[in-house]
Amino acid sequence: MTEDIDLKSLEKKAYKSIFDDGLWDLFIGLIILSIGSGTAVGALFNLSEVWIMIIPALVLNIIAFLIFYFGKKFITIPRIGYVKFGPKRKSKQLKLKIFLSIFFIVNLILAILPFTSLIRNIPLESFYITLILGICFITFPLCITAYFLDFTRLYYYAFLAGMGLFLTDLINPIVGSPLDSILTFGSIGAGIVVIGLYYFIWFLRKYPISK
Amino acid sequence: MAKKKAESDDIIQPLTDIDKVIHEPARLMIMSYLYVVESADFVFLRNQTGLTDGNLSSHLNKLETVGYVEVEKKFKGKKPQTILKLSKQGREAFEVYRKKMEQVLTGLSDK
Repeated sequence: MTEDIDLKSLEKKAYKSIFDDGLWDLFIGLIILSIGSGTAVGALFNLSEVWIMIIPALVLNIIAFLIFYFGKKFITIPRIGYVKFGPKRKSKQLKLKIFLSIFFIVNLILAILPFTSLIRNIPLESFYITLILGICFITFPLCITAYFLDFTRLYYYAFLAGMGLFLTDLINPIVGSPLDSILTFGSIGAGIVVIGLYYFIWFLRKYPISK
Repeated sequence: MAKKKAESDDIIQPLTDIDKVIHEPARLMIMSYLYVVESADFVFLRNQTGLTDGNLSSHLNKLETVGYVEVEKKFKGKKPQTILKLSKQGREAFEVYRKKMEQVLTGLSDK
């Protein structure tokens, strides 16, 4: 029994080392940051109303993905090495993929909702709506992802990101738009990026490139 | 007297049956890591175990010689990569080793 526990913790230690590089933090931080800074960049370049959020956010999302992909390939793997985990981890990854696929389809369906009268007729204050939307569409999927990835820090990020919509709505009457989302999503995303950079620098020092 | 000797022999016997290839601390560490993953490369194993290149290499040679570890050498781009995994025999030997150690340690308890 003791051996079982020790082998489990050994596997966990080996597995968790894949998050040592901070690239997951950078990726998630940049995605959240893109919501806030997307609005700012859009306003700066006077992009038309429809594209004000989409183009800058999309560009930042692509940058986040490229940093993650090439960072893992050219920085992380040469330093910590290559590993393939056992069937339990593979099954968890498969479940995560299924969940995210279903969630994506549900999101697509729900994206149609604003074009219907359903949302407009919900008898709730917008504070509550943003809170519920944040929990359902940001916190919940990120928590599920954190569970399947076994990535503890992601639970905190899920909570912070989920509060973003609610906080934006809360400070909007004071600072107006686009400063509201820059202050909320921008600062949450930037904070996570800083944490990611801290881990990344620590990782580079801990794992020098092997000759 | 003879009964007492037989009893102590029963306790000590599993000790003599312990697989000495696995029992060496560095090799036990290597075997444990390879047991919990499907496969890993040399760099990953070196980082996890904290062994030096030479040390890890010599222990892996020994484990490969007895057939516990399978070594696959390939190239990833221009860089050589050594992929390591426990063979079926190695996995079974590790499980037997664990059971025997458990038996020995239970026999040595002061209850």
